[in-house]
Amino acid sequence: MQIVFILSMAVIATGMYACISSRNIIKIIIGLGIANYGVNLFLVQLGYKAGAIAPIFTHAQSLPMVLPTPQALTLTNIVISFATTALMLSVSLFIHKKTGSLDIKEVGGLKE
Amino acid sequence: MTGLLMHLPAISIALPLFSAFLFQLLGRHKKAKHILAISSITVLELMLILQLFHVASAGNSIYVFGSETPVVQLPSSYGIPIRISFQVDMFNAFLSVLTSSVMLLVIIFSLNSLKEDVGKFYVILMLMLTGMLGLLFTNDLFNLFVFLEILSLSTGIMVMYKANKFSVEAGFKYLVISSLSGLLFLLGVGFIYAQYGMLNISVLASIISIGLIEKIALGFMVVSLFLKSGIAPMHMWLPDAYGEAPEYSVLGVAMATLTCSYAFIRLLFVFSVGELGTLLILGGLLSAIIGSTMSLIQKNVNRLFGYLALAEIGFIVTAIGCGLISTESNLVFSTVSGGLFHMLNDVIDLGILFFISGIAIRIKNSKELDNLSGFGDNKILAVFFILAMFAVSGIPPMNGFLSKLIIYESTFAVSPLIPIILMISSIIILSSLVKVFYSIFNGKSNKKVPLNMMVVLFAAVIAMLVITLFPDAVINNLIKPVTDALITKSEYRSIVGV
Repeated sequence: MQIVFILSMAVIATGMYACISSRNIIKIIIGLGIANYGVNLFLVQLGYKAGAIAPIFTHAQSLPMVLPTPQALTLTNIVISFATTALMLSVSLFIHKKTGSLDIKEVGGLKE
Repeated sequence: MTGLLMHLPAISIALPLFSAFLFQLLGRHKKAKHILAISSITVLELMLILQLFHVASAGNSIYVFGSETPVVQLPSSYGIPIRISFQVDMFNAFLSVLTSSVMLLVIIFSLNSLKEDVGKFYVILMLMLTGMLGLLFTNDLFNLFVFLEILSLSTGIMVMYKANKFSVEAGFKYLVISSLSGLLFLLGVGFIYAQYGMLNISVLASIISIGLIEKIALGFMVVSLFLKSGIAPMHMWLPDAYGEAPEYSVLGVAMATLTCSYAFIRLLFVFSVGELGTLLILGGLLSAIIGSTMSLIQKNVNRLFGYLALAEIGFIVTAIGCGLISTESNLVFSTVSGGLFHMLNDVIDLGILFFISGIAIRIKNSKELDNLSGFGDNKILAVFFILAMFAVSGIPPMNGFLSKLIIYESTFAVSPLIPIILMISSIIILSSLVKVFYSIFNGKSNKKVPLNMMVVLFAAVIAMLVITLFPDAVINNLIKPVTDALITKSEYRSIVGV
């Protein structure tokens, strides 16, 4: 439990670092994706219960069941991050078409 | 409660969501799309006003999805409130009416600015409205996150709508920052879930005890919502987004950021986390300083107004932060009511400025202040601009002065330094607006202003003058119950009945 928690935080930190430090737009999007995986891992490990069964059977053994809320949260987050990633990739395509570059420093025309 | 009234919270989300997808079915009928947009949003506006009156007379209303009747929170054989629910009290009912009126004005204002792709614009606008209304009404932390993401994705597309080099850059910046902050929010939600095993805000508020984990979780949420509402020092995307968004719909983007600030105000008040009020005061003061000083050197008119909007949000957040940390009930009431009254005035006054700049940009086809001159013969626009300029910078007798006076007087009791900083930033706002006035209303060109734009401008000015002339009526009938709904948490907490 502790290990997964630390691991998920490390994955989130890696993703955010990649997102902030890199100059390539595709790498920024990949960094966001990695941070998303970290959050998903964190949410999934919240719902884990050792020895419990899934709450989908009508005639189940009388064992403790897990509450499916964290799984639902994870699924929703996967869908949302998919939509975000798709939108941002299409924007990056557009940026490349307009400016011929994917470097965020060269794209930038907006100043103070 | 009759059928329609009971289902109003759900219908008011469903209506813009479904009408957003109807636009694609209309094909090339441009006029039909205009009619559909205006009629659906007018119906929505009427329903939300009905809901405001209902809530004012009958108390908070709740809508629980998936239960036998929408007012039952708990499943009959189960002890944890797992169902998603909406809760409408005076505060979010008032903001929902404000939001939908702004969107109605934006749609009428943009009628003849749109070219052939009318449908796309309306789809984005309707999805923004869905996100905002959901964000306002929801009573579930994860549902809040979902609507936040709907709102920020559609706002990002709205910023990029012009699809030139600069707007795409601003939109990409906004998208990256908003999805990062969305992840931070989800992390905070995860912490709360790990501690309490539930996500319902009312139930959480009645059992929460603020310890270290809760402070970490709320810190994540507040920082992420600061990022989304562009409060300094996280404001780097805001002027870009305001400056590059289409000039006819920039007020919608401004409303979206204001709605994001609703979320952290609600969460901090309902969980009564007084310790984080200092964060709000610091962020608000910094926004007021940075917004007003940076507006002095801008050359793009909408970018300048974006910095002004940042400064005005700073005023609101400072007042509400003072209300959060103070313990006397009188002081809490006066600071928060000042902040909320300023929220109403801020939307109307900045709305007028954005509409006038929208008219100027449309006629002159440029956003640079140097190219905008030539409206010296349009006396009506000049008078309206002067009135709005006085209101935004807090000069008597306009409405902006009234709310700023409440903020100055009440925050003085918290620290005398706060009103001094706010007054200085007001003066700087006035000077940068004088610059804009001088560049727009200089020289003559005899250009005619389109009728729909004048209608919208007149509506906004009339709203401003009504508040200016009858401030007591507005404060007693609207701001007072709204403030009570925000600062007395007992009704918001107890409605679930756990």
